[in-house]
Amino acid sequence: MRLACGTLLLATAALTLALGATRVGAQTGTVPSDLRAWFKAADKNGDGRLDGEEFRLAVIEGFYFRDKERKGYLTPDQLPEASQDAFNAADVKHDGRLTLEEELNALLKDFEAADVDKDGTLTYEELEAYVKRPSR
Amino acid sequence: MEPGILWRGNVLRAIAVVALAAWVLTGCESVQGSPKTAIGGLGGAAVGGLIAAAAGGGGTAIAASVIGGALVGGLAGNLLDQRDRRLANEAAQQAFETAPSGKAVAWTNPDSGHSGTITPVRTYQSNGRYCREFQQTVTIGGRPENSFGTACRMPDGAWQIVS
Repeated sequence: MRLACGTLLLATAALTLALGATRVGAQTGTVPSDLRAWFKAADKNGDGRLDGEEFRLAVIEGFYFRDKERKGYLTPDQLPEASQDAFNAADVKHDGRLTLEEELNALLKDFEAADVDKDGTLTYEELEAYVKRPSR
Repeated sequence: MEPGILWRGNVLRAIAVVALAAWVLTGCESVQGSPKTAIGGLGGAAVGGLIAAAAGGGGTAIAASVIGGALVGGLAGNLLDQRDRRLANEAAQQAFETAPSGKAVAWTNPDSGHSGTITPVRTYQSNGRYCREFQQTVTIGGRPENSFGTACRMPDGAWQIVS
């Protein structure tokens, strides 16, 4: 599953929507131009760090707006730039649907992985470094 | 580096920009008593994609009203007329469907002089339903009255005030 995992390009689809423009190449390792602004918006208490709850709320809200038909899950066609293998890797129930729970579970592990100093929060620098991390 | 970390990194990138899609929906949205619905402040190249991302790109039918429970209660609720209530409900529906947390949707009734805002403050799922906590301000006679509540989305697309 190594290859599948390394090619999960949900970012491309999302960034395309976010910018509403041409597909600007949100390839792995590319930092979205507004990542800092997003970080600031997610940082509700303004302390310069995203704690687990702030991160979780941002994830839920992102899922909500991505789920246009409000079905409570995302399907591969809603993430057209993501490979099927990659989607399947996140879809632990293997039902062809990515639920909020599945996404949250995956992303909270990401949160932990990105939190290099293990203080339970993400700084912007940690987030950016993690996003920049090249995949294989 | 373990393989799991690699794909997680991609997922993190994804969620960052997915969340960004919601966040970038800035600008004050408003419901005027015309009865037009105006969406302002969405500028630049972001417009098409953001509206599509937030409002469903035509695929999401926005239900006509907020149902089940009083959107505006208390003294303020008693002082609102029918048109005020309709405008408030439209604003609420718009806020719940399209506004990122922290972004207010305003309504104004020029006839009564009453106005208000509805601001989602948190989004979550409960029993498979999307719910949004919100803050509401109703201004009557120049006096704002604040309240908080929670609305959950019903299968038919209408939002029910649950608290």
